[in-house]
Amino acid sequence: MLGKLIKYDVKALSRYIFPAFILSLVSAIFLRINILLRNNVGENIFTNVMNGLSIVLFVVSVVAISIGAYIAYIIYFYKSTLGDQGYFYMSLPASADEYLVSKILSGAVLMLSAVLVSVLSLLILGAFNPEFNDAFKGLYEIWKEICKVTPGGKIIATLVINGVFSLFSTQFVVAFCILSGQLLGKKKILGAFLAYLVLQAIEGFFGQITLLATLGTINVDSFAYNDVAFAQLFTRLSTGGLIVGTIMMAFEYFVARFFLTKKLNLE
Amino acid sequence: MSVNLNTVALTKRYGSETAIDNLNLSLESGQIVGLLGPNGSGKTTLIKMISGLLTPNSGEILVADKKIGKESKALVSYLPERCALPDWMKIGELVTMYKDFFNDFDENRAYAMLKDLDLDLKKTFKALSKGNREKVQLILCMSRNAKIYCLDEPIGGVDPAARDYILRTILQNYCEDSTVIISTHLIRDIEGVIDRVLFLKKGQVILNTTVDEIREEKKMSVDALFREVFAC
Amino acid sequence: MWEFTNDRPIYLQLIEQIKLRVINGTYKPGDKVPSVREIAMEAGVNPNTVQRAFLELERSGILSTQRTLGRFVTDKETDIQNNRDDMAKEQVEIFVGKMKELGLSGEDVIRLVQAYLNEEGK
Repeated sequence: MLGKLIKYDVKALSRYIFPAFILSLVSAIFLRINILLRNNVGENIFTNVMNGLSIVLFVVSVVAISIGAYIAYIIYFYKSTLGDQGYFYMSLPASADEYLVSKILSGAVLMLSAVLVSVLSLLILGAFNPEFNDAFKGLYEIWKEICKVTPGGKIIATLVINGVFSLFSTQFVVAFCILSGQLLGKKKILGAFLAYLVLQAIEGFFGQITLLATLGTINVDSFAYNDVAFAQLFTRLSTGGLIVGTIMMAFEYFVARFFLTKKLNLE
Repeated sequence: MSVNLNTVALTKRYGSETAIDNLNLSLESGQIVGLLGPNGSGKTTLIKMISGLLTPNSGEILVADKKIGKESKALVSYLPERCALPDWMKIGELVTMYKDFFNDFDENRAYAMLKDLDLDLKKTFKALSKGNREKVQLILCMSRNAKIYCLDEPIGGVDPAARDYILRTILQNYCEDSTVIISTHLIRDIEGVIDRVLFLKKGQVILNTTVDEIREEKKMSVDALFREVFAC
Repeated sequence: MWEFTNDRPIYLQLIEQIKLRVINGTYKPGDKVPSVREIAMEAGVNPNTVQRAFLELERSGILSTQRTLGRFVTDKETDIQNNRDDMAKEQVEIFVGKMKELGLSGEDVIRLVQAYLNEEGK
């Protein structure tokens, strides 16, 4: 059942985001062509205008993918749970856990594919492009500097874990907000917003505590002018953030599950 | 004959309003039951609770002795009043989706009924007329071999010919192991099809009897009795 | 075609209409009767109702069930005759009752009926 739920959730989500993906890839190609044109043909009004247009298009598509993925997920979650389609999905022979996990995993697929398409678009834009090669060389120099201070592996691991985290965290927040928003009866969307504010408050509160606690573990004396301590701070804050994040996700999941099983109120 | 549905002291409140009030009901298999009552009497609320879309405030519902949950939903086939299916899907895809989700779904039955109506499987649900959309939803619902069929206003809002088709489809897929619950306003149209009648008023069942008993003892149609009982 | 009114139980009306079909030869003696489901679909009524009508018709001898073969019309002509006579008698009662309501006597009734039959050449 879980596999089937995921299959149909992914199918539905991809319908929302597909146009943005196409736009991103096409606009990257378009921009690349325009840059080549400008470099080879030289500047004139035509190439400048085309350049401008293609840059605008590319920026729009970047925004479309990044924001679009979130918006698509939120709209889909709401529609298939509390909207008209909820009458179908909520009557399926699936447990609340299967339902939620399917939404979470399909959301992750959505986020991941958004990232992949963005990377692909950047590659289209930057591969074998001398301007971009310079930028990459610069980044590599900075990376070598950082590796002198902390093991590069650790940094990469932290970034990867945070990355994976961010693929999932939104889904938990959305589930929490939309399902607990039902408390407000007819004003469900308002309820979802209020739930979001409550969540932010809780997160902010625990975030502050974690920050203070983490700072407390740093040896203040050795802190000043010391690159190693700085790196230590970075990784510890990161870890603290991850711990808080995990606890929040668990909290959001259990609340969402509670509302799904005990308080479901499809109007 | 088995008991397909059992409710014990079932209560559902919306804020200060009580939609279903301490309901005790027991329905056996092999019956087509008409759930009748004015607007706001709790018909849709009861059906939604049986289908698992609403949770009661107190009391219990058992579907074939199972509590409402994953197992009971596999035994209940729900036809809502509204269009609940993803309308971007093609009819053929909807049949596949039903087959995927419901083990008791008989796709051959569905294909046969869709063929009778000359419906192209490649057409999207969105592109169909309202009447055809309702028929497709009904066909998918009735192609399951469920223990309970909950049909919420299946014949409202369609022309008389479509109504006939819908009622015939319900009769055609009638099974002695299942219970069909039809909630409707259009009593005259379904009187001939239902065995048992439940009059629902303000969340309580004020009458639970058979159509034949009403006609034999009160010498009037169910429609006439309804008008009498619920006269404004 | 099956036609039902809503103020009487359908199974009673089904019994009458099936009897009529037997009497007027639509269902001939010894014929196999359509199944419960077939009649339910044709008439647009609940199968339980048809079942109830069938049971009653079996009880009164018009139909009989032969285990694996199905339901059949009786081949006993006398039973069919009796039923026809019963139904005819019912109609006569209703008719005469209506005539009496108009203030006509028994002799008037016979005269009118004879005149009608002569006219129509029946």
